[in-house]
Amino acid sequence: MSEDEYQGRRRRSTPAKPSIVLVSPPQPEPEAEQPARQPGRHSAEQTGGRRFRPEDYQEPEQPRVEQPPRRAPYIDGPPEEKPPTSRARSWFGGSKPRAQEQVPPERLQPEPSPWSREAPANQAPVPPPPAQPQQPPAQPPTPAQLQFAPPRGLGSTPPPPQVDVRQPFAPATSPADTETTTQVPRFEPPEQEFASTPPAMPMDHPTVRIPVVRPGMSPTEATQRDILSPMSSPNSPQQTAPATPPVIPAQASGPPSPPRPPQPPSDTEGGGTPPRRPGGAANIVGVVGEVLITVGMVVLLFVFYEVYVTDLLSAGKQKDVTSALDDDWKDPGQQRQEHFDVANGQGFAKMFIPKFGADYKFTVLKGTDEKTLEAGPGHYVDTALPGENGNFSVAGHRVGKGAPFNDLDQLSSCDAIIIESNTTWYVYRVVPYEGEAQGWDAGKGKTAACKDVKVPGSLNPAYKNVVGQQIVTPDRVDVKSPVPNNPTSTLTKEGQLKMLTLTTCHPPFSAEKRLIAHAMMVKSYPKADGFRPPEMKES
Amino acid sequence: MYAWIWRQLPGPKALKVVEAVLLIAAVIAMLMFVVFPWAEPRLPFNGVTTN
Repeated sequence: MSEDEYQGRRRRSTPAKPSIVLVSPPQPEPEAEQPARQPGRHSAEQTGGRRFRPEDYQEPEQPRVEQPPRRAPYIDGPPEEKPPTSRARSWFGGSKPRAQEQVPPERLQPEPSPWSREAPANQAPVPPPPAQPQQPPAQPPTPAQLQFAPPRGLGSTPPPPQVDVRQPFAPATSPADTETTTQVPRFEPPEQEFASTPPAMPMDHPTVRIPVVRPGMSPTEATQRDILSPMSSPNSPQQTAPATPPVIPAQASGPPSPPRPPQPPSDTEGGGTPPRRPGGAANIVGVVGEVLITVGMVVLLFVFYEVYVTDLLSAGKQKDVTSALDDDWKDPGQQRQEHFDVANGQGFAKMFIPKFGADYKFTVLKGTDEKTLEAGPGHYVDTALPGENGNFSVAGHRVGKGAPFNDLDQLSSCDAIIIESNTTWYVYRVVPYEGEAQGWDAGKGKTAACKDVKVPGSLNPAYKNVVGQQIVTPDRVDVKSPVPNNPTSTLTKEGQLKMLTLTTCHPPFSAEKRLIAHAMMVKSYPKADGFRPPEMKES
Repeated sequence: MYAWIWRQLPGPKALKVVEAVLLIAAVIAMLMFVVFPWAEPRLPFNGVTTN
């Protein structure tokens, strides 16, 4: 920016210089201008706008009647920004109040100095950058803007002379000037925006920029925009330049001026107010969306409840029934004899499945109602008791509520399922799976764990359909019949095997089917202090 | 819906936040301890028995 601006200034200065030379006195200015420029943009806009009030204008104008030529260079300069600002400042600074308010020393100095030559050379280097940042924050932009508007109107009188001067110059240098000016202004607007406070900026820039650019677009869109934008920025600062604003519109945007007012608001609005208030239909859609999101959240909460919350609740219940069972077993009166006759929902045995971990232990409750199953695996009351001939059947949850049978599908043949009663350890083992029965004795049946496991069908033809694991529909009550999968068996209790059946849901999270595991008792140990079945160490 | 609820909450913003959190907690507790336990047996999720 600085380079372009400088070049533009130089170019402008050179053509304009003749007029300037005549008018301006000014060598001292260079110094003043430099500082002035820096502060000038912001300060000039802000303070200048305030100061521009009629009083100020009149005073500076009179003495500077000669200045109109100066202005003309300025006009060229306005693109340069800095010189105009400095001028504006000088004008304002010249006024008494301005000196006090603004960075008085710098401005005051620039005032005496003429705009013309010194400004370009000196300005380009150092002074502008430091001064700009400092001044903008200090001075409020808003007042400046407000003030600016009036000055323009006031300035209407002065502009004509400037216009005249410019016009002559313009034809000669119009192309070059416009281009240079365009370059300079482009840089300026962004700078001013950044430096100046946001509120002030939008006012000046949007109004000036938008109207000028779009309307002016027709002749030379880019150049006009640039010119306009710089002009706008310099104009406000230059307030002395009231002449400049009128001139500019006349040249580039005289026609476009009408469109300007509408455009700036549109731009500001479009950028400033992105959110639009929804109408009635939008509200309905929004509410529906919120309801759907809420339903989704509730469903997710329900899954969370099923998988975790019910586990927590069931853990407490399982702990209660277990402690109650332990108390029952410690009762001297219950020693040395089984005590399976308990109330519904009370524990009467403990289940261990080493395959599921050394810490896998659940108290088996009487009954299979929902409330009982929340506390632990439940015993089908119409089936055999542990250690009895028949089919000791237990149901348990696979998901949530402690999920005692969460991994029931992980069982394989010969895995131990140990039932502890008041007096005895009953060791059950999963019977051969479908497909394993053939060649069992010569195959897996030889392993240590399977030493006592036989294919049920080989022991009694009534058990030919019994396998270690099966998946059935929920109505298959025959899986827990005394002879599993053979409800019509006439086998007497004395001839029945000691079977164990576990039932749970399948697949997980579904009640579509049931996962069934069958096991047969292979061993039992009387309970004794400190004794635990060796099968407990399997895993 | 939620915007309307938010507008109904009395007090300054900080208090509104606290109230909103309490409201959410109350709703979740109601779901967890009343609605879900009531609804679960009626949903086909946990049939584990054959009968």
